[in-house]
Amino acid sequence: MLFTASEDVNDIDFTGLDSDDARSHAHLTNALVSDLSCGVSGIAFVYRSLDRILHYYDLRDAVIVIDEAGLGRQVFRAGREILTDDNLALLDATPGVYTDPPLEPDRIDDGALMSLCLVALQVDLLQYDAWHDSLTGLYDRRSFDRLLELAVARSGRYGWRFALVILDVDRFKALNDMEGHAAGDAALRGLGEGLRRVLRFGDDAARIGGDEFALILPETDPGDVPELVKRIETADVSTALSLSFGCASCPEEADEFDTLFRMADARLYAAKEKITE
Amino acid sequence: MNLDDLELELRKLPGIRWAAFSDVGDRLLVQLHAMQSARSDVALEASRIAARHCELPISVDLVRWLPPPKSTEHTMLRSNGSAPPPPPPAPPAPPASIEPSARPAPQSFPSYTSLRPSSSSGPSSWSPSLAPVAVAAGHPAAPPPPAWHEPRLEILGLLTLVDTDEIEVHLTDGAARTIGRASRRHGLLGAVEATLDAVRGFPITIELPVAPAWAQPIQSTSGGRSVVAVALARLGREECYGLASGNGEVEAAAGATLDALHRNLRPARRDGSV
Repeated sequence: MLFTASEDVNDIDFTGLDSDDARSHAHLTNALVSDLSCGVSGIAFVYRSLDRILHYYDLRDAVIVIDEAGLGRQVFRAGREILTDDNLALLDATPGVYTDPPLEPDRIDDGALMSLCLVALQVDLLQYDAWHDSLTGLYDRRSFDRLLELAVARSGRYGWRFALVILDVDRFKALNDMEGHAAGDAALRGLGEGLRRVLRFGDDAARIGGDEFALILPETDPGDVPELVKRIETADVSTALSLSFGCASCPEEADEFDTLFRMADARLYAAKEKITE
Repeated sequence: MNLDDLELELRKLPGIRWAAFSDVGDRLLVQLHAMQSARSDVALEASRIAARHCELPISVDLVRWLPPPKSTEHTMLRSNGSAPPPPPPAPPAPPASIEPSARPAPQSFPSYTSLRPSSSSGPSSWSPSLAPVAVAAGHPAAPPPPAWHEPRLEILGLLTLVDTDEIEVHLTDGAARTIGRASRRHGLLGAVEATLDAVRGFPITIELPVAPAWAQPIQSTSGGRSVVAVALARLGREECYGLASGNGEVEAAAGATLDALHRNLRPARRDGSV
């Protein structure tokens, strides 16, 4: 019964439990599990949990400190409050749950709270990794397919226009062969960094293959793309790269996912052939 | 804007232990606390991440914590790497991090109690004693903030925000802290404007209206420092001048602005006291 998700914890009968504390633990844990099953993000779950214990125990403040692989030690405070100089000491707190005023250890099952928060954050991290390329931090191919589908659908429905650009690093194989894969990886990381610097809010960039990147640029004239690519090439001074690109605009040139992608890809291929010649 | 996604990405940056947000007028304030493992360009990286998630202008308030070199004191560096003035001496601090079952709770945060003293989690990667900033801020015996006629405003940090094209100046008078901003396009005068903007945030009045007149680089030293002179225009009076050195011309211009104010103006607190 304890780990059955329920929208309304008050509907559950906890009278079979043998103490007020046990019933209190059960109520709260059930509410938290209910939150976890609602599909909120891990970060949102942590804040919601803190808010719940705030109201449940009529507290002024509550803090949870977790230590999670991939995140390190992290401090969360109810209400997403800005940290003031009065409570900087929290940054040094060891993992646990902290409340103001203090609660007797028996009154709250902080072990369950910590475990649930860790699970929720772990899911966040897994989801992030599932949608992002680990080398560059950009979106991966799966994310790109989804983003392009959405962009095409929006364009069809609302008439929004966008440019699809596919980028490829010139002579990337030679770079890998001559300077090693570490140099190749560094170049790709640098390119990812350059893309993040140059692109506008609302533009999307993804690494869709070994050295292939795709950009979805809303309200962009294809004539502006060569200048943009130049800026990307020079954005990261540590890696001087030459890029080839192919571009197609939606809905002017194509208004379907496959056609649009093939058109941009064919133009990239033509640009690469010129370089080879 | 999805604040959860933004927070997750910021907290994934190595060394970031705390991220919080606040709407400040028409911009989003992002507060970050970074431990020693954070990269040197973490503020820039954070502003880029935030810009990807948020269409509003963004201010990143980064506090970088470093372990004490030898003693038990902490050093707090602001994002430009310059250390603030040493905090006033505090009475002996209660030891250690918040592990109330083993140690008394810190006086600066007296009412929080750990429900689960974590014996399995090893020692904090950060030095275990309390930061003097926290102790000084919360301890009843902490000395009052310095009087206005003493060496007054200090630069805590300078940020150049590429995404919003702004210069951000953080000042402190030993107790309060303000932030001033101006467009980066104004060059060195932008640093002067941002400094004056931050000065106006303190509970003081400046007896005469002042405005940036000019800012002129004087010299770059072999140690990589710059010397800048600044003139401030005052209504109906002659210009006043300031001179300062800094790590780069922007920092020097901000310092020279404070120098001009400190040497030439006699600001009074708004309550009438001097």
